Amino acid sequence: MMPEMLPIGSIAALPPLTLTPSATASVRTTSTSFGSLMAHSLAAIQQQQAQAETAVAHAVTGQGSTTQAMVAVTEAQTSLDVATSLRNALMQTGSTLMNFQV
Amino acid sequence: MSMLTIAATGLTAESYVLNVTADNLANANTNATATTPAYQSESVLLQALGPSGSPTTPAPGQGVEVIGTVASTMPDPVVYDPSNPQANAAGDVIESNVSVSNQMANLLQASTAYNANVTAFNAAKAIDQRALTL
Repeated sequence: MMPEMLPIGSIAALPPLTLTPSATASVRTTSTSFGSLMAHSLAAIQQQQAQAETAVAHAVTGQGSTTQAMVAVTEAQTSLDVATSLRNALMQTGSTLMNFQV
Repeated sequence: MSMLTIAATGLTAESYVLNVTADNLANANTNATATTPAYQSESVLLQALGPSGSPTTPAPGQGVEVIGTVASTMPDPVVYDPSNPQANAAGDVIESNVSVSNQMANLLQASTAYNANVTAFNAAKAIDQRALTL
């Protein structure tokens, strides 16, 4: 059984394929390196730790409230946890790339 | 960090309310003297911190803040007691207008609100820690 034939005139010429720039240049190039990012976040964390220490000192000497001390300590702890987790994840990514077999 | 800081503003505000309530209760039995008027019961004014987002990128409010205290305008109770050294020339002792029963209700309310904020804060902390295990 023969398939139904299409008349040849109905096949139009294909338009030429062009690559749009957005499809090729999707990799972003930023000057922010992982090292400077870590340095910035570590500086911020260090400042937060110092604030937490001050708040604890005030709470212990009765100048500040326990609430503020605990809030400052928890915020500093959370920031440090986040930074540590990100650092571990990025280090793992880096070592995976370094061990890549070529 | 946002949920932590929002809950932290609630904790700070409620502890301020608790401090003012404690101050009111501490001064409940004070009287006016020749030089100082009677202690006026104070209540705290709280206000919502508005959202930081724009109409295109909405964001929740940023918590609560203490914008001040107002002194009660209730009349001071006057007790006739000429033997009291704090009595005025007419023999009246002017007492502070702190209502201890109202303050106890405020104490309970602020304490409950503080506990609620502690729960929100701990939930935010737990969520952050869970997110790190993703």
